[in-house]
Amino acid sequence: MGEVKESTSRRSFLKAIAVGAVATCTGAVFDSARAERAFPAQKGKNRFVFVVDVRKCIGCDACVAACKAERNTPLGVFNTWVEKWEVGYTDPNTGETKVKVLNVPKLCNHCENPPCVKVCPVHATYRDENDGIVLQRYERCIGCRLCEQACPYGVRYIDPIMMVMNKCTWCDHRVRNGLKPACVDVCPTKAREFGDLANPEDPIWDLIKKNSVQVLKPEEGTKPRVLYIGLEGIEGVYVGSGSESRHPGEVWTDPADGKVYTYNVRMQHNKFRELR
Amino acid sequence: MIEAVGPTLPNHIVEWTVLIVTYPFFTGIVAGATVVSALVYLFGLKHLEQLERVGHFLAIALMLVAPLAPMFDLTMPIRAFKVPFYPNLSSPIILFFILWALLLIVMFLKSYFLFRRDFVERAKEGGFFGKVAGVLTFGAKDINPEADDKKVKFWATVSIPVAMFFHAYVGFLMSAMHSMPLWGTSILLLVFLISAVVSGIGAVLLLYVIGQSILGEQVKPEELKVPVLVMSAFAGFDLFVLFIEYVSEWYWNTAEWPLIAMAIKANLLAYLIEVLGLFFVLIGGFSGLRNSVSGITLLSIVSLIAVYAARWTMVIPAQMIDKGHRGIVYPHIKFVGREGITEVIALFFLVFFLFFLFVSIAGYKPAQQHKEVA
Repeated sequence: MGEVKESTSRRSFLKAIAVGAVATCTGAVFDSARAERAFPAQKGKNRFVFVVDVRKCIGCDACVAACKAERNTPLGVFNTWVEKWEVGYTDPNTGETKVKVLNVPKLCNHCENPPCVKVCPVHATYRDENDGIVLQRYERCIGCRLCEQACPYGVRYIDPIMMVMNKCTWCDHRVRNGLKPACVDVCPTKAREFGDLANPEDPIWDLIKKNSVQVLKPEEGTKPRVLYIGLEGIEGVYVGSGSESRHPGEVWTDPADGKVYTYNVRMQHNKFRELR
Repeated sequence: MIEAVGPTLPNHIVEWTVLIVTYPFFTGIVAGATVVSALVYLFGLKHLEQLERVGHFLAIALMLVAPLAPMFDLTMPIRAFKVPFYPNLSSPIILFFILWALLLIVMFLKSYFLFRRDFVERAKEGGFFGKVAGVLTFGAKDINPEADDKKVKFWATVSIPVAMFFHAYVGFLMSAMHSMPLWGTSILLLVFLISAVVSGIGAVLLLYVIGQSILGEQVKPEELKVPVLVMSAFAGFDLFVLFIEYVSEWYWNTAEWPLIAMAIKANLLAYLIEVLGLFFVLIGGFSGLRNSVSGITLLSIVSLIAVYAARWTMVIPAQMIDKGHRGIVYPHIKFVGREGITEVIALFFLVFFLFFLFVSIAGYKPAQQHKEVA
């Protein structure tokens, strides 16, 4: 009888320990999660936005060079790059040709609804609620690369030196001190513009009001804040070759009117792959 | 050096390779092994109890090893322990901690009541494993098999949905990436779960046949008829769901289809092994192969190879497709080093080490049966 009593009390003791441990762990996790939400307290009330005027870009890659210098980005990875697109058609019957070559600069879109922030398990990627810049806490990133999978724009990469995720920050260290991002400052044709929508006097408002603006991959629902001028009727209209039997990027013929369309894209960065 | 076909974005490489292929393979076997539990405890096929016991040993070993695969895959593995302390509850990775911990607790509770009678017997025998078994009784030396059996049945029943959810979460990790062609479909979860049943039953059958032959005991193929038939039926179901998925992709003919086709062509060998293997399991299970021990062994080996190939086709081709939607990038698979094949081999060895460790502690056969035989 005594033995039974002893084992009962031991069981209840073990139960009490288990309940206590679970309660403590749950409390600790929720407390840290709550503390996490309060971090970081930021003061600014800016609404930054980036405008790329594709019509003005001459593809000189000065922005790429400036970014590499400013952010000290290692070999083989890029915060920004310039793609070359050849878009248009040739009518074989009349010889009518309407083809343009565009230089399309790409960078992080600092989305209002960023999928990379949503999937990060440790809040290493976060969106600053005050000025909307999507940033990375390098000391916390675990390197699961889920953000890279989730990003529809392919702008995130593992930094080969730090071995954590890195990305374009819109040069937050500059813009929070009244400067413009390095790529904007260096652009010789003013194809890149940066401004603050919270300031009604900002010249960026003129650019947005006077031109038709587009965003990349609007169908992903990310609400990008890099606005493009000059991609009207191009981005989001036909993004594939339109035929399952052809290599994407090849020329294709519209069977309805016989016009030969191209959507040839040369991103010209495959050579950098040799460096990785 | 990274190889690419067509224009690709400069930062794009195939990030998740062999370790993430192995991860759903392991969790799938855990989920599949619970189907054998279901056969025993829910459908009352008591003659499969030994098979279920082998499956349980394997499931615990895999549960402990599976998290190492994504952990080794991290670029900062030691920081994995940061996740519970800074959890972002909107991330699918948080589900892992919840479901894995839950499944581990349920499995340990089931193990405790399943093996308690063995631990008590073993503790009497003494020796190293006897001492370990004595500790694992947690001081409760009273044997009451009937009461324990009820608890085993309860926890085994609980473990079935939890294991299924745990495996489905691994599929959700990929299907939540809606911007990626081939991944952003909800049918992926179904493909994951169905192929899990095939590989789970296959692995349990294989280990059971090997275990019995090592002990010199006869395997009765007619007793294994039901699990083999379930495995074959699920192989057929898997083929059907795969057919639906890829035919839909082909028929939709979206802007991504040319790239999906390129990625499929680049991984054609894996797709062939997957489809032909599953087809073999489907046909073999309903033919004379299930009437012989060698036939069952062959079917289970083929099921494991086919499902490993299936994991490959779920993880790799989608990542090869460039975010610019104009080219594909080939995976760069190393033999040694981070995310190398050697790490996968080490994980497999670890699974078998833990399996044999658990068998040594708790005994391959239940203690009472052991006594009866003696």
